[in-house]
Amino acid sequence: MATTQQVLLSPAELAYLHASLSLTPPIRPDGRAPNLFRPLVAETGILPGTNGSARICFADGTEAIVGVKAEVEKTRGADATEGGEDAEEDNNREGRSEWVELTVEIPGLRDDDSGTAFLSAMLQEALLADGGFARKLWINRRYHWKLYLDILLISPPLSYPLPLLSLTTHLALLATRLPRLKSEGDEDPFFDDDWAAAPYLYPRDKKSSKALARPPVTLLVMAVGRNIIFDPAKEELAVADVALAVSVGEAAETDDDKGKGKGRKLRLLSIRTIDPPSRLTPPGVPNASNAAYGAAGATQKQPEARMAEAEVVEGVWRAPRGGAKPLVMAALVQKALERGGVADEVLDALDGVDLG
Amino acid sequence: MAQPTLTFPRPVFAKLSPHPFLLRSLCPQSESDPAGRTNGRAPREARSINIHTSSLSHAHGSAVIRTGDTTVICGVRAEVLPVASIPQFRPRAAFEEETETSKRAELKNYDLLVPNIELATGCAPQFLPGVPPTALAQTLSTRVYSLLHGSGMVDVEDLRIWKRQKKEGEMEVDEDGEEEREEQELVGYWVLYVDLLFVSFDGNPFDAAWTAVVAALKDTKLPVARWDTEREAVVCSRESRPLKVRGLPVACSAAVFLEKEYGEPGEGRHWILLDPDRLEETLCREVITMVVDCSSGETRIRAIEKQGGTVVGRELLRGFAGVAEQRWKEVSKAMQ
Amino acid sequence: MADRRRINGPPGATIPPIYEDASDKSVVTRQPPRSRPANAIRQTYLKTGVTPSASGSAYLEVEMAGKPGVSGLKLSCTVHGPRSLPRSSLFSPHIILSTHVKFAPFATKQRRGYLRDPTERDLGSHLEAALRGAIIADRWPKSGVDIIVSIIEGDQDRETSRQQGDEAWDMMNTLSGCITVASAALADAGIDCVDTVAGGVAALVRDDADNGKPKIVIDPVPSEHDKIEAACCVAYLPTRDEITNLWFKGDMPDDDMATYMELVQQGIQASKHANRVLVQCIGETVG
Repeated sequence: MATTQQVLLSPAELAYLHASLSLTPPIRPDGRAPNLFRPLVAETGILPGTNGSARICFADGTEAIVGVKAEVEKTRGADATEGGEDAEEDNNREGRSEWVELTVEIPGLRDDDSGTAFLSAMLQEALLADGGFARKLWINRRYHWKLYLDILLISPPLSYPLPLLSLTTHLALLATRLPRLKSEGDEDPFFDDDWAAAPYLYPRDKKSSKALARPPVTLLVMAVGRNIIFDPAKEELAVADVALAVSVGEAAETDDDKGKGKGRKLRLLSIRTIDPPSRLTPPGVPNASNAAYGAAGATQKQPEARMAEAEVVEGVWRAPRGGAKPLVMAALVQKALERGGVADEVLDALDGVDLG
Repeated sequence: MAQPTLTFPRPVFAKLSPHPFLLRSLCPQSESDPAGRTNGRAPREARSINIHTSSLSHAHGSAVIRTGDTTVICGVRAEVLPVASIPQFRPRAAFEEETETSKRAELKNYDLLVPNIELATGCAPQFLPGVPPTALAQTLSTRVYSLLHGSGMVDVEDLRIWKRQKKEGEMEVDEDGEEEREEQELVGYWVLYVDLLFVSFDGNPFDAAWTAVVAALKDTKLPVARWDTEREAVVCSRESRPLKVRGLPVACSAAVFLEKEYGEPGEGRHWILLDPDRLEETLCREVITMVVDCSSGETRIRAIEKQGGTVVGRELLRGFAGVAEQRWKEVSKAMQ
Repeated sequence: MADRRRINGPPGATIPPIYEDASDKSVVTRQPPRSRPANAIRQTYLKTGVTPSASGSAYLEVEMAGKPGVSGLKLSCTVHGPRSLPRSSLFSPHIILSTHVKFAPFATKQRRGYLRDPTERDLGSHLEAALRGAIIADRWPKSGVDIIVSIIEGDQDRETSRQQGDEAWDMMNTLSGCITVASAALADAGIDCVDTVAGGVAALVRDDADNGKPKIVIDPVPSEHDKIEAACCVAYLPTRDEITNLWFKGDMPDDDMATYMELVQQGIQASKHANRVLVQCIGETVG
């Protein structure tokens, strides 16, 4: 997995980072607030041959490009012969998850590497979780759009690439347009040549040109002690107690939500625990058992070492063991779903990108 | 001055110097110790077989075989091969006679039986996943493949899918009262994927794998298939008929253990160890396998394979046929 | 793709059998709805020591829903290790876990090939995360352990011939089985762990029989319910009260945290049930 790359920090540095992130309020190495994202550069429409494309560069130098291409495909199988009048209505159409094909490419890793498979499964899950996405690809009973999402990480994977890839995919999907359908009913589909008339996959409001619906976005959240930290850098992930990848989407607003304050209502689509690299870090040696400090016990045999290992000495780094308490995880998820919180800001920011 | 003697427990001795360990066990120094193999069996004694069929619900036929510590699971899945997908398909003309040879050729040319053995399941420390199939796995698969085709257990007629279902015993009669020869059109074949998975490996994989294949094929039930003109595809009904398996070939393997590990052939004693386990297999270079079938009343030898040495000659082979017959009886009883 | 090292079938593509009544909705028999109470898991059978030549091994069978006495999910796990790493690898102060999950070709409705596909690798990543939290890794520097899970039979009921989306929920059931069986095999191999980790699944289902009101059940079987809205698979350490791996997927009807918390709690309950079976089995092995 990408998180298992060796993090070259010494036990003293790890202990220092952990201590500073456990304070109230946490002091991050670059001085950010716990829920502040790093600045990023985003642009769309960079690949003219695709139906939609986007590129995002994070401040730490990582860069990703996503290209979306669509092809018309014949619907095979029993679904082609069934259905009838009611198939025309929106809610009776059934989309299939095979209509979306997602590939993730990370330089230096094979495409069947388990880390890459995990990332692509996570991104695909988020997209297809509510079942509504595949429905947009329905043309008529015999044909559908097959969407190919190619996600490429251009820079070497310096930090865990999940949030970057997810934001870039989100932006590329927002920018995707499918040609306008000119045929009627179940006949062989043919489309309008005029690209300017092509509607967006995620329809936009004509007046304000804001998107009416939005694809999901995946955030990386981590916890150190009692603090919840968003957009962790590589060093911060290396001392995490627990890290989660949370995918949120937009929910439809109902009447009694209108009064709940600013921000949009968010929906939980998927959660996965990420194995933080903190578990693979070398442990520090306390002075009491360090021969360099004249400790007598250092030359003893195994049983003493085992006992010393069990004690936690403050200031000495030890890789976390066990898991995370359920309440801590729930707090992480709650923070991510907060109205007007981080997810909201990210979605707003991406919405503001000009879809040239 | 007496040398201090080292004593080890048995498993450690087995790991450090396996050859003297087995030798000592087969011909003990003192009269009182019983002669036998390290696993407690006599040289002519094979492990008992436990066969359990129809345990998998997604396969058309399945069998789980346990001999000692070896456990093999075999699943047979049938899939449809439409005639249109066969490159260079040659439909048999009406005037051509159908012989046993032509039937077997049809089975082989169109690759209708696909056995595969998967060893990389962690069944033994040397078989770990992540690497392509080892030489042993490939050899086993090929041996099972050639024996499957050579023994003629499956008749290609059972695997053919005709345009119309031919009911047993019914013949079309036209106005003249003569039996009308139906021009049946072949629309596809059933392809049987025979997949073997080793859960635990303790020597003599071929015998166990072959028994599993036979047991699973006997347990296979194929759905009744016909051609659906509307969908232009082969459609199956929920009822199924059992696959007809001819004969019951049983494999019996033995390894030859030499007294002198490195020496001229012919020097020293030798022992024939029936159904070798993992330790014995690593120590023996010569292996003999015989496949016999006594289901028709008389013993018929389907295959003899011998490699690795020169100890086993004609006399021993003849004697081995008797041993194989004995094994056939054991396995046949276990299959009931 | 012709694999040179295996016996390949015919070069043309073979099609799995299509049954006549597949598209006939009236004939597709829905399995009888769930007869167990909402907080009971299916009967689980666990045995260790199946592969004597491995350091540790275990075998798990879960009873098939609706057919008592017939087993549905069947898993086998072997553990090899701790063994020394190859000389070329870097020094590692912790034990290096490598997990492999493989479906047997005859395990599911659609025959799977021999090369590992992305779903299996994904399951392997989840399993690794779940087990890493349980193993005391710094007792074994410069070592590696291989955990290999073979799925002999998947959970899907053969009779249901539709429902593609259910494959995803079956993966959760399979993952929880994998976690439990791997934990038993680790205990059999004698690798130090902080606690026994077991997997449990809970789902938010919607049944027509209940007037479409969503409710939470544990150990769900997709064919027993009309629609599964969301599900989560939890790997839980009971004595420490910690979760080592959480996988949640689905469409929560609202952003209400209460439903999510309840779902996770029920997942923990399912995991506790599985843990009881696990502890009993290990107790028989050791004691």
